[in-house]
Amino acid sequence: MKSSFTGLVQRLRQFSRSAAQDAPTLPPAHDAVTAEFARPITLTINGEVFRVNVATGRTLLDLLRYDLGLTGTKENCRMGSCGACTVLIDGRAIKSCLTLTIRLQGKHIQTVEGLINKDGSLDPLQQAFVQQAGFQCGYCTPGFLMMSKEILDTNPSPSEDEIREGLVGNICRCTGYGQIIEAVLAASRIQVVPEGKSLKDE
Amino acid sequence: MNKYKAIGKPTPRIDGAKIVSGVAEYTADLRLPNMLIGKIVRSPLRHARILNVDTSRAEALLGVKAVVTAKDTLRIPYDFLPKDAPIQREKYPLAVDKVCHVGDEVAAVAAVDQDTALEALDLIRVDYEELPAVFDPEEAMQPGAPRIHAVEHNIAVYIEKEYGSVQEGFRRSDVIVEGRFATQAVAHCTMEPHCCLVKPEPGDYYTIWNSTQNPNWNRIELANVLGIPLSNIRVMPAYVGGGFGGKSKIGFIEAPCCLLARKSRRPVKIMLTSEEEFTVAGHRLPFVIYMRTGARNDGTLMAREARVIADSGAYSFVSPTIVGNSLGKFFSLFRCPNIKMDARLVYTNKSPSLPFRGFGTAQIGVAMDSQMDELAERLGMDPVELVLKNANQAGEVTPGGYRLTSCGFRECVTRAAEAIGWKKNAGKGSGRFKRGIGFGTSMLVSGAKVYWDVDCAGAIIKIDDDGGVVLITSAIEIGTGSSTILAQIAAEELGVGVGNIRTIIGDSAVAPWDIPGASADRTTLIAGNAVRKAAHRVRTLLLEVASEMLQVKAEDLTLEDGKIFVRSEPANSLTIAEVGRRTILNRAGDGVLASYIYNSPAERFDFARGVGDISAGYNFACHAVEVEVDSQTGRVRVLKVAAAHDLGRTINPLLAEGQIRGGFAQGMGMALYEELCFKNGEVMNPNYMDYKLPLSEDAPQAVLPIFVETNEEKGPFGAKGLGESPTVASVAAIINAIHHAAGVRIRELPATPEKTYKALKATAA
Repeated sequence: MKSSFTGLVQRLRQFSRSAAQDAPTLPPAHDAVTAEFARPITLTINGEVFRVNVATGRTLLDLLRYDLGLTGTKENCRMGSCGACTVLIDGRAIKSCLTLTIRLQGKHIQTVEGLINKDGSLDPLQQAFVQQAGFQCGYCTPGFLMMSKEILDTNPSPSEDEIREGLVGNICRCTGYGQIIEAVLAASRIQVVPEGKSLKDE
Repeated sequence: MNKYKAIGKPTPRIDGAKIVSGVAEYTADLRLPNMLIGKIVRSPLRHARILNVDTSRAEALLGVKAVVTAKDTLRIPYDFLPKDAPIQREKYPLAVDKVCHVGDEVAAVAAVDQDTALEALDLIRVDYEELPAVFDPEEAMQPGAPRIHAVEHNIAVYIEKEYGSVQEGFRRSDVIVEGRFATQAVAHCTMEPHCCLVKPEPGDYYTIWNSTQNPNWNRIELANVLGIPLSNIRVMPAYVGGGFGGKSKIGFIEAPCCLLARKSRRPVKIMLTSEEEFTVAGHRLPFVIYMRTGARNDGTLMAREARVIADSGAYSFVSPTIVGNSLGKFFSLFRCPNIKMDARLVYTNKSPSLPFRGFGTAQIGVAMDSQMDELAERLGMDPVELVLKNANQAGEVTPGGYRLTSCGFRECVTRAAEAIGWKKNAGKGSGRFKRGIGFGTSMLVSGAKVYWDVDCAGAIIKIDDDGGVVLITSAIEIGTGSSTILAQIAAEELGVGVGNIRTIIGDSAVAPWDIPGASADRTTLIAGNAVRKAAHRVRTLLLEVASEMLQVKAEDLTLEDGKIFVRSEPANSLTIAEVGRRTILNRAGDGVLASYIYNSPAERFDFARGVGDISAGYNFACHAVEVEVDSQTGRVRVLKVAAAHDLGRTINPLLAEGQIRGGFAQGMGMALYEELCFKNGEVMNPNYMDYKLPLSEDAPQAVLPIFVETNEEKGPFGAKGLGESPTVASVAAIINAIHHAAGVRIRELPATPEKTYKALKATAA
């Protein structure tokens, strides 16, 4: 049973590869087989419009990291339990490893690469994470930054407990969370302060 | 008062912008043109003889470019420890005759994409003859137990050592406490999985990017198992997403990856899945400890005896030295005239145990600190007084052979006790929520000369044409902020601002030899000394050339804030850039460039006698932890921590605090939550939902770092290591705190709510 199914897949591969040679040029799907089953999607990522052909099963995480080279968003558990893949979709934090790209027609995605200001300076959250040492190995940091952004965008002056609760879906193995929470608190203070001034924590 | 300009300042990470903008590259992010995806074929059985491996159907699959088995190797086993170390060498890159645990590496495939590689795995057919298996180390030692390797009673290593006479010591003790302790398999849970990318060149050359703490050890091991010269292997730097000891030696993916790259003649990348991280990537060496401690009525320790059974899993890897390190601590921490330990490292049919932050000292520390606490109770003594009475002091040489040139242990204990409010809050809580305070201690090395006669690191410092300083180091950034710490040391010695220094983590062909990498709390002391001495050479050269330019004696010059000037005449100055350019013009052949390889002055561990002053400095710690026990559910919450650390000199308090808070979280995880649950040799909870580790809601309300600066003369600006102690000092502190809060002593970790609740019910009954 298994060998005949494998044989079927092999024959389909050979068929699709020869068919693909005649097909019009399209933006690449992730391999020749799924080109058969790919659909075009238009979505905005960090302000830039992308038109991509994606297979139905292509996650946003894999689109970002493998198809578009945006490796700032990290992969780890790939099952929604660690938070390393967190990005914002229309301002809401989601786990990109569990999100199907084909459902994102017309959506606005923001990843860690999109946090930086247009002039190349770090945004308040990024600044605060650097100043407060809110990271060590840094692998979980993009996920924490995006989750923190949603927290601060919806609640500009959160309490420590609210920050703690908001970040419970992101795992950090290095910091013990203390300096991450302090970074988010510090960022919230940078944001509410009038332009031209900044508060420094002692 | 801090007389330094860069040392002791809470300096944010100089590479921080890269991390928070998502451009720092980890091996998991890297891609090369023409790259193949590699996957490993693993044994589904716990213990079996390999009868036949048929790879033909996988090789025929379109898109598969290479399949390798033991036939493609020289059948040379990994050789993790020196030739004279009395250990077994049982692990092959790909299994030759048998498999010894679920997940054991049998073959590997490389294909054009992940889906094809996964399909190929299913097409490889391995015929096994299943063998009886054993999973518990105490059972594995019994006569008649299944034999895993060619050793009697599955004992990979047996170590025995006595100092004085424990029989005599116990005879002279007024009080003796005794107990069995057990620590569990803890998973490292690095956020970046194990990952390596190998690019081959004709002639058996390999360029490797690897998520590793130890590039040069990788090279040694790969050269050994592949049968090629060391210099054929070049390891390139990348950010490492966590190690904690799980990546401190070669993993088991690098060699198969090289074999695939060689056979396919294309770059190959292997990244472990999250499930593989839990099932095969290793875990902390579980200890069963039978310990006895005896003391006089006045609290003087008279005798300590420990019998240790450590669960190696299927391969011993470097576990012999982990056991040896726990012995070193047992014979060193606290003064005691009579000490005995015998330890057995035992094979079982489970995935192999690996180094993990603490390297054996966390496990033995649970028993040691618990018994100190028990003794204090039996003696009617304040546990802090008991610890202080037997605490090591500077100038001692321990029975383990450690020369304590600096030791701030007593100060750590008193300051931690004071900070947590010990005298004020002593006494159990009442009602449903019971609060209590407990203490834990730690003693660790700053570098350890065990494997070779070198424990070294190097640095190259050069001045760019604009006066910018480039520091090339092989110290890997695994999250400790080593690049920043080393830049601070260079800045202080040179006389420039930290912002003028760019730390480049060099690839192994460029950066000096550094062995054994980011492990054993060694980077600050060993790499730091190399940086300081290289910076001193550069400074000397700059002052020499400047003295020629200014026509003054070099002794009259000083270098501060990037300017070289005459002390008595600051206006008469030159910039480093000006001097740098002149050096090229005036001194044919020289640029402003200097290097230094620093080798620890410690003595090498003597395997035969079981002693050695293996480190240039020993760091001490004491944690005081306040917990709250919910007697209705058994749940334990950590409220506050006072964490006192003798680290010699605090180079960067901001980053040191991070090590303390992060290390504490790992200790808390080990004490309260974490356990890889094996059943019949298989991990039952190989994911983050079923393996509970600390989340943001579990972090304590307050962690107060206390830095005790003892100014170790052998360290750069007096600094020693720090990174592992916070984990070690935390575990027993929490266990002791539970006892002080609720009157129950948990001896088998972790102290889950279920265990604590049952213990509470048992004492109430």
